[in-house]
Amino acid sequence: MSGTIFNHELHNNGTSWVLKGVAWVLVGLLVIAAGALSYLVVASSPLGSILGSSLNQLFAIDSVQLMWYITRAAGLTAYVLLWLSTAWGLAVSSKIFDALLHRTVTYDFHQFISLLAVGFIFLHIAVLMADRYLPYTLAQVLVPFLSPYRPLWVGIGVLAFYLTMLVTVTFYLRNRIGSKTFRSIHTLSLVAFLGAAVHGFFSGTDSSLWVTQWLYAGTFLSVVFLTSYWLITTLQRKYARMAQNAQKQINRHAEG
Amino acid sequence: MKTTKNGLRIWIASASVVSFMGGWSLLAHAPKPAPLVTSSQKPSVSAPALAPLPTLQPLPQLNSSGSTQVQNLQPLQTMPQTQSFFPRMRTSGS
Repeated sequence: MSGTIFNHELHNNGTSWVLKGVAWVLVGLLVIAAGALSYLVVASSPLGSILGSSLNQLFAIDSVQLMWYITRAAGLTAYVLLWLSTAWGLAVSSKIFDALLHRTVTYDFHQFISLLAVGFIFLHIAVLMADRYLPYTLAQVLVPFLSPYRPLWVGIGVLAFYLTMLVTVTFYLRNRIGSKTFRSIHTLSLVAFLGAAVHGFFSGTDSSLWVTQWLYAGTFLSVVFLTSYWLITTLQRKYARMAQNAQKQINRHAEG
Repeated sequence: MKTTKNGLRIWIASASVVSFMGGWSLLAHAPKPAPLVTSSQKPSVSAPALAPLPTLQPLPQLNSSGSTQVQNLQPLQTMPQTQSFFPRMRTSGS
């Protein structure tokens, strides 16, 4: 779904992005460690009890449903990120941002949003397994349609997760698999988004809230609009290229 | 260009974390959502309120004050069957 102009910058050799990944993980661990340390320092002070009770009130940490709140929030965040990644990818392919930002920037941002979405999906799944009210086993999480709760819609979510993983991994394998295969696999991101939307709407316990309904409707319709726009611009470009080739052939024939 | 890239990365990562925390807090304080209505879970038409069933007054006990009445009761006697049904054979009237 994107051009091939900036391959040299985006796809370095294998070790480079592994090192970058390790660096990002280290930064993440450092941030967590700093957070834990500052929490310990604050918790031991008199301010700590006030802060603790405030945080408890804000995030309902004492609640039995704590894990349920976290998994729902993570799921919704992952869905919004997945929507942003899909919409951004379609906009990049349709060359909407070309006048504003360089393609390397827009493509890198698209790739980073996908990674973030995968991270939040992992959090969504991991917390679901730690839930005390309706705990999921590893098999129920990984094998589609085994869920004890709304198996069809949760199963579609599992399949959407696999598709998202496939699309995200191919970001880093583009040089090996070639641009054509990369684009074919990347088209599956639309199916993954649709699966995530269906999963969220039909298995989410918040789908009866009007805010959530507007969220699903808005994101879905925007992707439908951008997909139509992308298809139209792609076909226009294709026909323009065909017309150009035909004109060249006519000119060559006339000259000959 | 690298600054823009990193800036965008940091911005989206922070925005995601803040959204996640905000979502968590909102969900913790949101009213409990009603489950999605399905045909198997909820009836489409509410059943009318049933009137309370009428109760009968308790019958007087036989042992308490009605012992005389019990004594006055005559046991049922089966009457001997003296008459049996015989169909009449009519030959006239034709």
